[in-house]
Formats: sequence, C-alpha cells, structure tokens
Amino acid sequence: MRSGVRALFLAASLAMISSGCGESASPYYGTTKRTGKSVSTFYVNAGVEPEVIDPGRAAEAVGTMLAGHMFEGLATYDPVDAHPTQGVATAWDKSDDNRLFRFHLRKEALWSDGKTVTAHDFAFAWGRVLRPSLASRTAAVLYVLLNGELYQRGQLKVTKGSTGVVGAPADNAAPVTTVAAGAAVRILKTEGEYSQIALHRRLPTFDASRPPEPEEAKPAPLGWVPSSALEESPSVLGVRAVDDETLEIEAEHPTPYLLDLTCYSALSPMRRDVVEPLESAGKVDDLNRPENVVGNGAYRIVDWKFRYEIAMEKNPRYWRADKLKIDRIVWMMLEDYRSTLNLYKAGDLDYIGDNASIPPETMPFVETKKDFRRSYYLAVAFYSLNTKKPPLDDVRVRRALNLGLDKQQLVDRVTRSGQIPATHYVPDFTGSGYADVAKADKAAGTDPFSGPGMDFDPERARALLREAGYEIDKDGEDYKVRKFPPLEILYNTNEGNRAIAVAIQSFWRKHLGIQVAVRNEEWKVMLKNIQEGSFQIGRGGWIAEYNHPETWLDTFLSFSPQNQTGWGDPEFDRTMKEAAQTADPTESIRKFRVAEKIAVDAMVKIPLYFYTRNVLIKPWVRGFHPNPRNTHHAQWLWIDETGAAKEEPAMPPLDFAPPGPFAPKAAPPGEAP
Amino acid sequence: MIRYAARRLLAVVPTLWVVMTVLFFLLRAVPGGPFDAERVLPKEIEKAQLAYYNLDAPLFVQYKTWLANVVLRQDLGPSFRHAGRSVNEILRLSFPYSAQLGLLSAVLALAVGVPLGIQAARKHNTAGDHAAMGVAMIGVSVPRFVLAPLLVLVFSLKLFLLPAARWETWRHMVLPVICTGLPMAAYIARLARAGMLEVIRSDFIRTARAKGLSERKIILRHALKGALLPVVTFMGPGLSGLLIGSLVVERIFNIPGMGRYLVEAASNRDYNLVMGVVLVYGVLVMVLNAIVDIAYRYLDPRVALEEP
Repeated sequence: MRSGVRALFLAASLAMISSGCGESASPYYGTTKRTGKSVSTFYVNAGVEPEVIDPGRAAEAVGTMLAGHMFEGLATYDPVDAHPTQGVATAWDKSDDNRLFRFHLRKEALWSDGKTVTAHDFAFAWGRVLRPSLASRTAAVLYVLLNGELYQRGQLKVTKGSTGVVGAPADNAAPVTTVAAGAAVRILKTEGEYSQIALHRRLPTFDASRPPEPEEAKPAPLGWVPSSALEESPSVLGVRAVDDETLEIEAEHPTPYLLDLTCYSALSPMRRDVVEPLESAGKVDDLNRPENVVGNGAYRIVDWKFRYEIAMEKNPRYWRADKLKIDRIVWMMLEDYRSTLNLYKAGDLDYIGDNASIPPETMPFVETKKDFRRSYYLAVAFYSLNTKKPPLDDVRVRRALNLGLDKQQLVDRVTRSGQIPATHYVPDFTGSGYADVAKADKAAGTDPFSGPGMDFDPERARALLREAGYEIDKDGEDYKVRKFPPLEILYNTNEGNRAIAVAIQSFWRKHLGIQVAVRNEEWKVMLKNIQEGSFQIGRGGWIAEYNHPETWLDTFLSFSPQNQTGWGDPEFDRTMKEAAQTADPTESIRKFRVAEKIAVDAMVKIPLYFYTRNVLIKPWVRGFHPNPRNTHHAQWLWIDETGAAKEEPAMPPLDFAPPGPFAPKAAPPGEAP
Repeated sequence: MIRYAARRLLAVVPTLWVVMTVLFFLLRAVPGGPFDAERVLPKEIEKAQLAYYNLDAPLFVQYKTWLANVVLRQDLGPSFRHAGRSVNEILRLSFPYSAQLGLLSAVLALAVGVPLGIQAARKHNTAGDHAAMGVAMIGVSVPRFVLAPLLVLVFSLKLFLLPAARWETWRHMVLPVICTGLPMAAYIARLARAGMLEVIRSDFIRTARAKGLSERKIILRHALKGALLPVVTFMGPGLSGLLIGSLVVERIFNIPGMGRYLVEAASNRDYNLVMGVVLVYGVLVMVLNAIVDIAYRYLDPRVALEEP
C-alpha cells in the first residue's frame, strides 16, 4: 500500500509537471476566460463530503464551513484579517475581568422562514450543544460558559421536585435531609438507581459585582437520591436571554477571546421549534437534511447530491440579502487534488476552496502563478514528547532535540510550501493583540522566542546532551552518542509526514549522533496510542479554534485532556489563569507570553513550523483576501468578468464599536433560557 | 439445470454469513473507534456517542442486533461518518454510478479485447500478433492511476475534447470508461488469444478445415465458443470488481460511486458501511461466479453441471 501511494504521487506529479511545462509561459494557472457561466454563481470545491452540517454538531472543517454559510453567529469573520465583525449582534458589553458579556442583537435579522432571530434562539442553541445526550464533538468550545463542562458531562443536574435525601443507595436507607425543587446538584457517583449528590452553589449571577461561588475541588457529599428525581436543566449554564434582543453570558473563567468564539459555527443560533420535534423523534441526524435546515445565514442549502455536490442559494430573508452578489454557490466535493486542479485549470472552478491542498511537489510550479495565494495559517505542527519515559524525562535531552533540528531546512527542502519555522507554539501573526506584542518585542530585541537557546544550534544541543550525562564521540564529520536509549518517532501514514520524520531523523543523526527509528501507523491507531501514552515522539498539529494564544496554550495545562505529554506545571497553570483575568488586553497577552515561555522551556512539544494555506483563485473573483483562518465566506465575494473592477468585498464588513461596560440590567421575566 | 442453479445460489448464503461474521469481529478488533479524533473528548461524551449507535453493548449483542436487522429488515444500519445517512441509502445512491461505469467498461473491454485476441491468435507469431500482444502487455501493466492523469492531460487539458472530471453527460463518461475498460481489454485479449490458440490446434478444428469450411466460418462457428472459455471464467470476478467500482478512477474523475468505500470506510471505522460494501461485493462475486459456472454448460459440452 505504501509503495502504491508513493507511486501514485510520483505518477501524478509527473503528469502535473509535464502538463505545466507546455504552458509555463502563461502567468496564470489555466484559462483566464470564464465562459457559459452566470456571474452570480460561484463554483468552488468544498473538499471532502461533510460529515455533519448541523452547526451544533459540526466539528470538521467542511461541515463548519458549510454551516457558517447557512447560519450566522453574533459576530462574523472579517474577510481581510478574520477579526470578528458584526453578525447578528450590533454591539456588545463586557466586564473588566472578561467574565461577563452582553450582546445586543439587531432587530432585522430573520430566519429563512421569516421569523425573527432572537436571543432566545442563541440561548437555546448553546444549551443544546452542551446537552449530554447530543454528545456533540464540538461542545468543548462552549465550555467557556459557566458550568458548561460539568453540564455536558452529565455531572450537573437539578431536582425535579422537592426531593428527600437518604444516607445510602438503598430503598430503606435513613433520610438525611430534603432538597427543594429546582436545586442544582453535582452528581458525584451513581450506584444502581441512586446518585450521590452534593449541592452546587457555583451558579451564574450575571452580576459584575457578585462573582459566582468559587469552584469546589472536592464537593462534600450530601447523600443519595433516586437518579430519576434529577433532570438536566440549561438554567445552570452561564447564558440567558434577557429579552428578544439581549443575550447575556457568564463565563466559567475569564475569556478574553469570547467575541472571536461567537463567529464559530457551534455558537450559531438554532430554532427550538425546528430542532425539538426531530430530536424527540430520535431523528437528530435528520437535521442534516436540506429540507430540515432553517438557517439565518446568507445562504440556504437547496440540493445535496451525496458525495458529489451541494447547491446553496441566496437566503432572500438574510438581513443583508440585497447586498449579496453571489446568488448561487455550487460546492463540489472533490477529494482528489488532481481533479481539483484540472477542473480549476479548465475554468470549471472559480476557487479551489478553503479545504483544498496543493501537494508540495507541484508547489514550485504553481506558486509562481498570478492566481496563487498564500496565507499564513493559525496552526502549528509539532512533535509531542512523552516525558514519562527516559530519555525524554530529562528536560536537557528534550531541549537538545529541539536545538538539533534545522527547521529552516525542513520547510525549505521538505514541506516546501512557505511554512514559517517555529520556535514556539503561538504563531507570531495571531490576533487579539498577540501579533502587536510579538512585533514590539522583536523590535526591542526582547523576543523570548528567538535568539540563542531558541534557534537551531547543534553546538548548544550537544552541550546539553553532555550535561545530561551522555558522552558524544566525534567520528570524522559525524557524531555518535554513547549508550543513548532507543527513540522512536511515531507518525500517521502519509507521504508528507514520512518525509518530515525522515528529515528529522537525519538531522538528529547528523548533528547530535542520535539514532532514531521512525514508525508509521494508520491515523486512528496512532491517535489511540498517543492518547494512551504508548509513544515516545508523536506527530501532532493544532489548528486555532479561535484567534487567541489560549487556543494553543490550553493544550499544555496539566489537566487538559489534550496534554498527553505527561508534563504539568502549576506555575504554568497559574500564569495562564492570571493572564486570562487581566483586563488590559496588551498586559493580558504579555502574561500569556510568559506562560508560553514556561511551556517552551519545558519543551514537551517540539514546535516544527507554522502552517501556510495555499490556494488558487481565478482572476475574475473579487473580494478575496488570504487570511489567517483561510476562511472565505461567499458573502464577501463577487465575480467581475471584465477584470477591471476594484478589489473590494461585495459589501463592507461592519466593525463593532469597543465594548461598553457590563452595567446591571433588569432580570428576565422569570423565564428559563 | 434449475436445481443446479438453485443449489449454487443457496450455497451463497452460508458463505456470506461466515464472511460477514468474521468481518464483524475483525473490524472491531482493530484499534481505534469511529469517533476518535485529535481532540480528546470527555469519557462521558464518548460513551454517549457510542451509546447513540449501540456501540456500547457487548460485542455479541451488537452482532445479534446487526444480523437480525439485516436478515429481518434488510437494514444495514446508520453510517457513523455521514450523519443522517443509512448504509442502505449510501449504497443505493452510489452503486448505480459504479455499476454504470462498470458495465460500460466491461462492454468496452469485451468489444476491444475479444476481437484483438482472436486476430492475434489467427496471425499467430506474425508481427501483427507481437504488436497486439505487446500493446496488451502494456495495457495490463500500466496502472490506472498513471493512465487516468495521462488521459486527462491529453484529452482534457491539451486537446480540450472532453471534461477533466465529474459525471454528468456522455462526454464525462468517455475517459473514465476508457481508463477502467482498457486494462481489462488488454487482459481479455491475452486470454482470448490463448484460448483460441488452444482450440484451433484441436482435432475438431482440423476436421472442420479438412471438410473445406471457410476460415471465417471455422472461427465464428466452431472455434469461438471454446476460445471464450478462459474469458468467461475471468469475467466472473472481473465483472464484480468492475461493478463495485474503482477507488482510483472514482477519485480522479470525481464519480460518486462505491469503489472508494472499501478503503475509506475501513479507515474511518465506519463499521456498518464496511459491512454493507463487503456484503454487496460478496453477493456480486458469488452470484457472478455461479452464473459463469452455469454458462460453462452452454459453451463447453464436456462440462457436466451435476457433480457426480
């Protein structure tokens, strides 16, 4: 199989290169004339078949992209740099400690069936995403809501009625006390028909002057109640609709990136009267069928040919529908890059799509074309190190491995798509103010992530190994480390991953004298092994869920399920918390950089490079800008067949004014969100 | 005859049952589950996900449920990968594409392969024979993933005669059909040639020649039937392979067929879909093989259908 794949790559690249040679004189890739197509129809490759397009469940790139066209959140990504701009919300307020937020919704936002989009639709949708029985894979983004995680994990419920608590999980056990109806309780464990509960006092206050009760690490058990006396209630969550146009959010912990999160498809509104009938009939999956989608986004799905094509049309009730210039989108599900490039070349595709990839071997030819666009992408590639096993339990060895890696060579010779060699985890172009701080630090010569000890330095790497107690012999041009325990790189089967692993293997052999084995496993097998800690060095990557350093740094928290390195540092955890609580945005980012430095010094993940995304877009498409999320919403795009029109989006994005203070507002009229 | 056919077809059932049972347990023995992803989920959520698809039940219970659903309700269950689509629906949507491509390719393969092989046999050891077999050898050896990009390059991107991909009009079908059918035509040509060579050396052909029949009549009336025996043998598994579709051709030409699922569903751990595809494939292979055996009876009087 592997040699087959390799041959496939080879054959295809030969065909590509030879097809290129004949026309290398043309400054564009393929035809530059659009014929026989409507100027208001956009032909684009979606990538693969989406798994789920229900925004509350979509977790993968294609599903979230399509959901993002059919639904609109409180905010929406700007077409140029992907910062949050106005969506359903027109303004927002926040408390100084980034804990409370209030969004003001526009009155004119409508659903595709004509009803008004209200704050209740958001509160319902978010509660639904976190509902344990939905088992949404994307729910973790909503753990920012107070009690979100406990609620989704089924550990936080309310009593249905006034409930007697007994001393043991048995029918004849002695009563202990009585809990009033609607009380929030933690479920500590269950035995048979009974649940052991504790009172949960940490509930949303939606009041800046009154923080919720602190988190209890070990809640005191109150006693046992019949499990049937408890029910799920989203009233415990930190989100509520104050009225139709006001949504309030109370976060679990300070969340400086909350506005950015509201652009994400999982935080889209949904309609209770559309969702619940299907859900109660056990047909939640049917929400993915075009006839059941009621959206509030710019487009609505009209046809879905399985594994082939999805057609969307302008949603005439979208609040900016009159400004849209693309009336119809044809999403082709092209899984093969050759068919993508061929159809693009022939002019059947206007854009190869956010999820398409151009293989590195064709890059040297394609990247010289005028219709080629490269964006620096909010994602980092790394190798995770398992610190539980020697020799990687020694930080000096881990740092030596990092310094012995010529990352510049790696991106120039192996990955070849303009990636940026990484010395740390947060890309320097990250938003939320990170880019500005990084730039200022570099200008002042105080960047903690460049210079000696950070950049490629084999000399220093060997010194670290010696310090760790390994003797290094010089053998001609080569080095040899004595008695170094065996090491192995684990990667998921893929030609590109193999090339990287082999290059790294050779860097370490050449510069450090360490022999490393490489092993490939099929994707799901590798995931399992990494999650179970059966690895030494494992390939990984992390794409930003929101445009803020926390998205990467969170994965280093000692209690994060994404941290499989075995490393944890209370100092790091504390700094992260402090950073998030800091009101001043620049100061907050500086603290995140301090936390990042702690993680870099521990070097439990060797950063390799920051990703790029490389696409081809026909010269007749206007309003297209490479952006760090590589997300290109059709609402900003338009087609100019004359080629003379100015480069601007189809409609101007509307920026938010700076947030107002979170001043008290009247409580909602006794209604659960 | 009918008794034989019925018996052959009935024998398919236990064979399929064994295949499906072994597959059912093998699939679940492979590490990794359908919902594993880079982001690790809390264990409660993982459990709820598995429970939704009844994957948390004991293996044997899952097996019994699956078998009962298939046998009693002809229901292959939901796909884990494509929310809201049942395996039945996926197969119903994708099989016609693969079958259409497969049948067209088989027609092309036979129409090109058989005459080519027979001509080569008749011109045995001449330059024409060597040329035809040389071409056939190349046809057999060049893999489809090389042939397909080359065809696209020449006919779509250089000559602009045919579309580069997709499945809409007859023009879209030309390249995929050639790409799928040609390697098979080459194989068939070699089989037909070998079959014909064997037959035209046999006694009854010599007799026919001695009677003074025209060469044309000898080939078409007497030799052809026997010469096609190896081709017919091959068409059983060959046609089932064509009908189920080809991963490579379907990907390169973006045809929404069934070929891709053999590999893809397995790596996604979409258990139900794997089972469904294998079931269809198994039925095709076994039924077509039975038909081939029956066809033998007509082509070769020496074959008796009733076993002793």
